[in-house]
Amino acid sequence: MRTLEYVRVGEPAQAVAELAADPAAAFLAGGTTQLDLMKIGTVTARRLVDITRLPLRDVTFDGGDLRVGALVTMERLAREPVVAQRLPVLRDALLAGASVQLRNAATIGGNLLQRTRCPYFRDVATACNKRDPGAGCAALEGVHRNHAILGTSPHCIATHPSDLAVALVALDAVVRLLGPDGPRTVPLTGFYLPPDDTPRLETVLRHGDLVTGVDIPLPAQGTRSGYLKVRDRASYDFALASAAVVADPGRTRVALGGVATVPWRARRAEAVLREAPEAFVAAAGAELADAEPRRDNGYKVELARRTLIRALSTWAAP
Amino acid sequence: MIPAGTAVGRSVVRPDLAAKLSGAAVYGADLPVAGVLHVKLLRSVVAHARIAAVDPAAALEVPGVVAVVTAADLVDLDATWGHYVRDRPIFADGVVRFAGEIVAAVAAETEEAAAAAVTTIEVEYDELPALLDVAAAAAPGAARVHDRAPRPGFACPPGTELGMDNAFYHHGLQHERVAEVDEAGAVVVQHEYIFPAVYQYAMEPHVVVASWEPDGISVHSSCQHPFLVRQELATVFGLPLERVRVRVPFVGGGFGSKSYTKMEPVAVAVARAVGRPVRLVNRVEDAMVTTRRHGMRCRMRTAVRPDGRFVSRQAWIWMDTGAYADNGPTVTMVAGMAAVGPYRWDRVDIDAACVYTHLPPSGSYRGFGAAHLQWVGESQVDEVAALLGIDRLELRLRNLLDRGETLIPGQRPLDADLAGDLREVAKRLDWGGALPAWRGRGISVGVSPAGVSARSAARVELRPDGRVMVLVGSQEIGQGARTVHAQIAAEVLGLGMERVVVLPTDTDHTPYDRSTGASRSTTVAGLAVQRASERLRTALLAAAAEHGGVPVDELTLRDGRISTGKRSWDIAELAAAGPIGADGDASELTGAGPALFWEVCVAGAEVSVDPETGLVEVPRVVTVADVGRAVNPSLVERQDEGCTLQVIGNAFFEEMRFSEDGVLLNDSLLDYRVPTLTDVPAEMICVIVENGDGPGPFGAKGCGEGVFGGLTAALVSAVTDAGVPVRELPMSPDRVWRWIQQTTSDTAPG
Ligand SMILES: Cc1cc2nc3c(=O)[nH]c(=O)nc-3n(C[C@H](O)[C@H](O)[C@H](O)COP(=O)(O)OP(=O)(O)OC[C@H]3O[C@@H](n4cnc5c(N)ncnc54)[C@H](O)[C@@H]3O)c2cc1C
Repeated sequence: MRTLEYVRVGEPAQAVAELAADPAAAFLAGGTTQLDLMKIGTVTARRLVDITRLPLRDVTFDGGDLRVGALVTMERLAREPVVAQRLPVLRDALLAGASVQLRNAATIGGNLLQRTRCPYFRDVATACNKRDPGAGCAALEGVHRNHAILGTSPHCIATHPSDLAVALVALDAVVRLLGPDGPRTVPLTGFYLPPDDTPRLETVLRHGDLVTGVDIPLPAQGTRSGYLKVRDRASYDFALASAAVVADPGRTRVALGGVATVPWRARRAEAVLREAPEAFVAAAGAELADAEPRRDNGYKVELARRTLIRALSTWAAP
Repeated sequence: MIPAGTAVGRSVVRPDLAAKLSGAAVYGADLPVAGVLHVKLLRSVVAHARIAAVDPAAALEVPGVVAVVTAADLVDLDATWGHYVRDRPIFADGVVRFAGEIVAAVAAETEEAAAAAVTTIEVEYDELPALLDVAAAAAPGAARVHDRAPRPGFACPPGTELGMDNAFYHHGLQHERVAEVDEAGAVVVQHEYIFPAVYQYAMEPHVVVASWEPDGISVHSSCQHPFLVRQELATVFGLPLERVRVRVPFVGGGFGSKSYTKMEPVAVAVARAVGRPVRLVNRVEDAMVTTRRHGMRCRMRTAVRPDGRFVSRQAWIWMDTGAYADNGPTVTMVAGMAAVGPYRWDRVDIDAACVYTHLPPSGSYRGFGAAHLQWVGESQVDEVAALLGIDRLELRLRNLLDRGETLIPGQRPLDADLAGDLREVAKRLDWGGALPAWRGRGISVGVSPAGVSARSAARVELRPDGRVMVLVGSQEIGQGARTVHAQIAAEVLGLGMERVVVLPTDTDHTPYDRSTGASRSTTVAGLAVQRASERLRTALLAAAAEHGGVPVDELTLRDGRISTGKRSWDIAELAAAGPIGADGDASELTGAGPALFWEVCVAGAEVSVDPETGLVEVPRVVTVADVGRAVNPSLVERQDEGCTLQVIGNAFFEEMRFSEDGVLLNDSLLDYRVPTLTDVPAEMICVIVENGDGPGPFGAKGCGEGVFGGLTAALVSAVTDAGVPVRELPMSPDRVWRWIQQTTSDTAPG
């Protein structure tokens, strides 16, 4: 029988130390991903370090940044007045995710580190390079209607499932970390690693690194922003394609979700828009020019294109 | 509308509402049971295989594990079950016939230990080819899913023929209203249709608490048919009926998934092996491979004279019942009947086959048969209407049967005003009014046999505390049976609802009731309650007459008091010396075949189709609850609304998907898509029709299932009207989109 140790920590440094001391330990926040995956055997941990009592539950202002503690829940952040007023893209992305019950348990830190919903990653009886490096990827020829068309590799085509991360990537959020060597910050755009030939490595985090919070630079007053999520079912479903648009005066920032192996900052679209702020169709076309669809997910190219055009027309039109 | 009585005809609040909302209601998983062991099941991961070896050694090492039970522990029993066909081993015996079949059970002190241990049991399978497609399984020369001749189960109607082929049961309907049917010049439509396997999704999956005691078996089960479960357990375990006791706690929904026997045999088998009480709680992924709705394939042909007179209907139907029959033959019979449609045909020729495959077993699900076939028949009526240029409503009205006409020879004649019902729907859909492009309206009419059996009895007792206890074996599964039965007793006895208590079922004390299904609780069990209440009323008045020394005809009974002139006393006084009770039953209900009454399946819908995405939205739904008498109008409306939502799921997105190897792929609620609140139609209109023409209490007849036949068909009709012909469900956006591409390329000029 699998045995499991459980420890609750009160200080961030203690949490880091607990993990640093045990390669088979993992953090436990809301548990909505971690426990789920442990139950079905996709991830194993010998020791769970419960971080829910750490003092990382504040939402504060610091200069132009909104500082969000890693343990703030999705629902709470979505209901913050400042988020509703200044960051509609963030509010929309949060509320488009999961269900109220889940959002009341799920934390911001956990959301950024949730794992892909690829069924082959979850089903331990099948081949998955992310779970078991070198085992192969059953999705390549399998049921891959929901898989990625951007950022793929011959070893993995799993999408990153987070809605929140897509909004935060567009907002140029910065992740605050505490590691065995002390605190550091990483821009979210550099936080996620495309699969390449190491699909197992999903982020720049090292074992023991604790996400302590996320800093979100507030867009200028008057910025319009929003998040458009397209899915098979209008609630309680992951994105088939999504787009986050932050239209600051003078420049438009864009990210895509549901179609890429990482939350996808749409740099090519942004470049087109810098030259021609209303060239939405061209921007979308540029972003998807190198998309790599497979047998059953070709529709995502067109779906992502149209999602992006509609999102731009909604929030970036003059 | 019939004027309301003191209790009947009123939308009284459910007596069990507070308990359910507050969490006080005790369901099977909550029952406190001293010394109970937890059971987890090992299910086959392959669809068809010989079991070469089962090694439980590692599981037995897990701390807390008490036993691993397999077929080897039941060799002293004829350990197979099945009420219609006794074809199902409690544990796979040498062969597994579907992915999900129970191979072994672990009983442990904790649920965690059982769960951990069950994954360590090693099973070696020698895989065999699996028949996953119903047409392939029914084809001549196909390998057999079962190689033994089928044995009739205890509830198999005498004289039923069960064959050796995978298509082991046929329901044929052949009749001619006129001799020498003439099809010359007739318009003919003929196509093939597909209906998906779907899952009932009762919010509470199956739960059984079982113990094997010196004097017999005791079971608490979240089941719909406790008396048939008792009979099944008695048969399998070789005990007389009175040594099997089945009790039913609160049940979190059924929809047919808890009809007949499901998890009880395996729970009892484990209890017997370990000598301690056990609890078995299914999860959604277990429930999905326990029972489901039959997938179906059908070829249908309809011929109609150019003047619009219906000539003939033919259909060949294949129902995929999975590896074990469950209630498949009954579902197949009703499907065959639904293929006919309530029309005046010159000739009808239907063959409905129940077919074994290597998929999980299928059984009852709300509205079965009508859900499968009404849309098929009705879409052919629509197609004919289009070909002849006759309005769809008009064509139906011309050919509909009238009250009293024969629908199927040997069955109860039609007992409803279908034309009237259809006109009610048309009115509320603004039938004939113009619609913008990609919008459509649909309308549909059908009937389904309901009631099944008159075997329901009830006992009503006045207790010394002044309350009246109703003992009736129809289960409260959310539909409001308890509320309705209390209303009936309250009405007859002149009591306030607060003084009537409907007790939970205990087969040791509750009078016999065949089953909670086929929309029979109000009509059949309700009639038994009415008759028992009437007898009790007579007995109370007689007792009061004696008590007060007054003639019976000078007494009145109201609000729980008996009065004569100025004197009055509470009925409680009559029971001071002990309870006074009376029995009643529904044996006066007669009728050949399964239809004690015909449940009306009439509905209409308006839809809009997005041609770019294939998404269908449903702005308006009209359902007809032709209930004879609405004992509780609010419950009637809620039945239609709940069923509407289930239909939306079945018609637009639900579908069990199996891999090429027969393994269920979408066995979670994230992947198996039941409707959410966002899928509720903007407008749901439920028209209650009260013609007082039901055989049940106060002229009532059952409802709650008809919407499945009627609305599924109306939605198909509406989508077709919007420009997209439909031959397969669900009408998911990807399919609808493809059909649109096909239709536009088919009709493109050039
Ligand atoms: C049914 C369902 C539907 C969902 N739908 C959506 C959706 O539509 N959109 C969406 O965006 N998400 C969705 N989710 C995902 C959900 O948002 C995440 O599960 C949740 O945000 C994870 O947060 P948690 O606090 O529960 O994390 P946990 O489950 O506790 O942890 C998740 C992972 O993050 C690690 N971790 C947690 N906190 C930290 C930290 N501070 N530092 C370092 N590592 C940490 C854990 O070790 C673990 O590996 C859904 C989830 C479910 C179960």
